[in-house]
Amino acid sequence: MPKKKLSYNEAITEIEEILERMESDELDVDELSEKVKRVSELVTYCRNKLKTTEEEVEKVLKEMEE
Amino acid sequence: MGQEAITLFQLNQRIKGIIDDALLTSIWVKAEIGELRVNRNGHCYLDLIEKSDDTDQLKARSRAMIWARNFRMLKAYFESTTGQSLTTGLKVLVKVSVQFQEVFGMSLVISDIDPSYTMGDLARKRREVLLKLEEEGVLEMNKELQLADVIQKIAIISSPTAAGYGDFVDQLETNHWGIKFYHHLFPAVMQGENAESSIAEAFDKVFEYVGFFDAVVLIRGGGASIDLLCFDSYWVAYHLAQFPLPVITGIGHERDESVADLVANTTLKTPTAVAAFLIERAGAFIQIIDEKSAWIADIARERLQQEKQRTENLASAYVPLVKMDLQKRQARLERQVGRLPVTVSRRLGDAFNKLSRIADKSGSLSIQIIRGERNSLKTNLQKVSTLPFKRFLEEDRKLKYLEQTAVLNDPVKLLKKGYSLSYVNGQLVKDVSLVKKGDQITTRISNGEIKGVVEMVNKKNNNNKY
Repeated sequence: MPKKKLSYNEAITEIEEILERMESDELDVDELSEKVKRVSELVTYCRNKLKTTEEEVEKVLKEMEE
Repeated sequence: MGQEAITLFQLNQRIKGIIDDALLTSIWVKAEIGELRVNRNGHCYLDLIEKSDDTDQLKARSRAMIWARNFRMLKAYFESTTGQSLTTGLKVLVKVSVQFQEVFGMSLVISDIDPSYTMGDLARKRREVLLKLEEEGVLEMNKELQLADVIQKIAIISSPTAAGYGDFVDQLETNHWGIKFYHHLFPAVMQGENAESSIAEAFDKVFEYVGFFDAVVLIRGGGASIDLLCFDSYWVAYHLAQFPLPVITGIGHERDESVADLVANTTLKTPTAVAAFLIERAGAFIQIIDEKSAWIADIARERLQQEKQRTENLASAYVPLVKMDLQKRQARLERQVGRLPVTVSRRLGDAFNKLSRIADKSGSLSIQIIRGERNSLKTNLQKVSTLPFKRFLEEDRKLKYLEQTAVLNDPVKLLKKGYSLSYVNGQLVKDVSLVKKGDQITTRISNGEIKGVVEMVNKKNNNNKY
């Protein structure tokens, strides 16, 4: 899985790099499945990060209240 | 003390008379609104002031009022024209009539207002503030910050009691994408004299968590009042422009953008618009990653299809090649098979010839042999047929000879012919080596015997029988 602190920007940059490489036919067939898997991981990671509550973040917000 | 005196009322009456006589009515006056309040009846009471341009010292001050009926009309007109509520700090151009009442003293009754003067003044002030910010090189600083792809952690500077804030939060939390937004309110007074310093303080507080948040949202509380003066203030703009996080404004106004709007990273009309912007930006991010990943999947599928096609093409090109090769080989084989009878028959012919030659040879040879054998058989037969006769003759001859020799060898006859027989020790001497010197030898002849002693033995070298 992608490392925990990966930002949205880093995720999309990586996805775009992969897309670019794929469009320019730089990837050979053996690399394809690996990269497709990586992209799917990144998408899942981003979706989770977007839609589920991170306790760590909530904790910081609580600290602000005090 | 017989001095002549008048009553206060009399005095005031006199002043009132002077003022009335002076016809100080419908005079356009430039002034700043020092204070403004509306009473229960809807009448508006205000202080008009004038300050010295350079020192900000109070130069003049007068009470003024607008009758409720008039105030409702003027207020609406002013606000719709300027986009700014009639409030403290504004410079106004008002048409006044000086009135003097014995009880209340002097008051300026405002009958009209020219909003364009206020607008001009605000615009001039704004230009001055902007110029100053530009000179200081901070005007574009916040605009140059990169907005995050997803603005998920949001610092909100707003009035906590404002409807705009509540709506903003509701909107974020019920977004149709189901995106989780983290937000925290940094409360500030958004209007009135304290607004400037309150907003500046709120920015300072956000600064303590600058690494945590993605952006600052500056939203105005909403409500009836549209006091936007603080957003044109130099200090608010100064804080905002240099803030290390992008600031998104949703101050809510219809006319010219405020200074705060001009220096902010992103400017939107209302808190609702800000919430929609944040939600759509995050939603767009989801769409983008979904689209790109779908795109990537498509390309991958296409590539795999291409590879498959290529393999198939190779295979389909290969199969005819192999077929052609096989056909070639088959044809060659068939040609060879076709030639086979010829070759075989030639070979067979050769072999047959050779064989028949051999057979011929062997035939004549065997005839020869047979002939030879036959001949030798013939001779043998002849021999065989003649042989018995010969034997008979021979035997006959032998017999005849034997008869003759038998007659001839009759010892008596032989002795008579002169032959003799010698005996040593009673034995007929047939071998001279058995005789030694000194042996008694007896020789028999036809008519007697001679006895003697052997003086010498001579042995002949060749052993002739007869």
